[in-house]
Amino acid sequence: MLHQHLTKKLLLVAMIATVVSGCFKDTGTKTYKLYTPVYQTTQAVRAAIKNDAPQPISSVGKMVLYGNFIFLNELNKGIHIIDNTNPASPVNKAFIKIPGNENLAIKDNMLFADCFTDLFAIDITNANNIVLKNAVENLFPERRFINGYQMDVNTVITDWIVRDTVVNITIEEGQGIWTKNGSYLTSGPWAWQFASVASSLKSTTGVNGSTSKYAIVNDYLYALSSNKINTVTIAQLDNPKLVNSTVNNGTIETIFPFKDKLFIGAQAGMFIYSITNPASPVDVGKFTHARVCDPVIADESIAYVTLHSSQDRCVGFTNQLDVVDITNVNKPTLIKTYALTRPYGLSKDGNLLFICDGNAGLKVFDATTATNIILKQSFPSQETYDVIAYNGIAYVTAKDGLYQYNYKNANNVQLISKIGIVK
Amino acid sequence: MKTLLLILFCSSCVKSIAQKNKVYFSSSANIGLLVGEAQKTASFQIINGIKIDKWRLGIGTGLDNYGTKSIPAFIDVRYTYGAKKWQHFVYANGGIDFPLYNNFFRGSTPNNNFFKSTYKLYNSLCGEAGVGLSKPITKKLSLNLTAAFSYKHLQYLETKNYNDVLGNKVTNMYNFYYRRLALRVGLQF
Repeated sequence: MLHQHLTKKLLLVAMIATVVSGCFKDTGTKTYKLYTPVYQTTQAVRAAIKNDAPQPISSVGKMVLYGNFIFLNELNKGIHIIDNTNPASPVNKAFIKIPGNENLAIKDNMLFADCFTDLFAIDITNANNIVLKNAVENLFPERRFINGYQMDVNTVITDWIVRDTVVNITIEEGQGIWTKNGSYLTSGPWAWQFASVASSLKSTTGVNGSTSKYAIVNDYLYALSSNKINTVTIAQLDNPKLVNSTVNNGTIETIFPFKDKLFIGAQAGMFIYSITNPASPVDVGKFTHARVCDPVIADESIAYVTLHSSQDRCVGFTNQLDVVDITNVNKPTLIKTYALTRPYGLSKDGNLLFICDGNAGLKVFDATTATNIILKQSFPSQETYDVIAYNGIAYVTAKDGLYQYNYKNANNVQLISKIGIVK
Repeated sequence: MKTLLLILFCSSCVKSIAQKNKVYFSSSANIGLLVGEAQKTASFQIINGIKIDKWRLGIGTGLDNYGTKSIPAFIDVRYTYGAKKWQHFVYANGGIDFPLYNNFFRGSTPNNNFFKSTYKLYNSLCGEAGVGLSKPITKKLSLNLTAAFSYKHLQYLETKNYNDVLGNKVTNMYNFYYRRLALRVGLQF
């Protein structure tokens, strides 16, 4: 009797289990942002090149100092023109909309700026009427691909429509499980981040930072692609022309000119090129290091190389300043290494060495003696990117804006202004 | 205010019932198996509360290994009926599930940091409803067997190590809804 009773119960449970087994389903959803490009023809983009009303700065890119102005790139959007007549009170004056812009250089009132694959020459003589004069087309072919899209020859992506998208995830055995190696993952849309133009001594040439990919030396603009040094003649400023492309397989990222040399920062090391023949840079020396990112600056006999690792492109565990003897450019040798937090851009004026040390902020060093570089002051801030020390003012780009510091008194560097970003 | 009123109402109900019936302390500990499409894994629960007549009300916690290791915290209600030799009961519980891992780094190789993502797991809902058999093995102790529909929600935000075209970190939000069969055995007094 009891046995029958239990059997009936078990049968009942089994029936119920069978019926409800359809309820035992695991489901999932993934919500991600879908980016749809907005295209314009290159003709339309070029026709729209003008100085628009000033716009709030929402992110900080490369910068160039030119006269009393700061030209500040906003990644992929354009260039802010800031009147810095009074460094304590800079004024955002205008904006030049250039889709895909990442780098810039200026010489004799001609602004050279990239628009994805092309290099534009923009006459800024008349501040109220800037004019696109010419373009070197397809100078940066690798930039035709962005976020999984390829732009046609006659179109550029000028904007993105962003939409939250939900997709269902089918879960089978072994999926949807969190383990120490991670969980269910799909690849999402992604884009490389590129990080302006430099020259140092001529008053009619803009001053660039150490993270720039452009350098102007006399009548030549040297513009880096991912693996090439493109030599562009700007003897005729309104008619730049590509004359040479020098291949370098070291994933080159920054360029710093000093006299007849170009110092190239690459993930594999620092490369030194002679521009004795300016139309044809020649590799004369290199200093290799662990695979990290490294802006570089140099003076007569010493190169200063910051090496940083992060979670993005610059994988690794190295964060330091290398001081390198370049007396013999064919054989650069390491003098000393200084540990830092996560150094990026740097600049030097006299014996003062300025380093953007990531989240540790701006650091000011006495670099009188290469073997004994001493920290004098530090200014903690949000992540700092690049610095230009020029005529007693240190211009610093950071995650939260553009800072200016007065270092005319080397023993008492002071913050004098900040333009914050507006999200 | 509404929550406070609800708590006061429930408390007065319990008190009212308790005044008519004797109230005993009740505790149970169960181990079991969670069976679903994604996996089969272990589970552990402990519930402490009160027993009033045929009702048990308790607060439980435990370890739920399904999908992600988490600690549920729930309110459990049970109603027992039937013969004393093999008592039947139905039960339901519901509460919050607390994932054990958070901000966990995933890397394919130690030096390949580009593919590292960070994760933020959120507290989510969990619940169960099922039936059981209870057999007294001593005067106070019973052996429980249960089978239930068990639900657990896992939500986490993945932040990739690279930026989108607008310069913002790429993020994905995942939601998993686990509906599994929970089979448990335990001791109760």
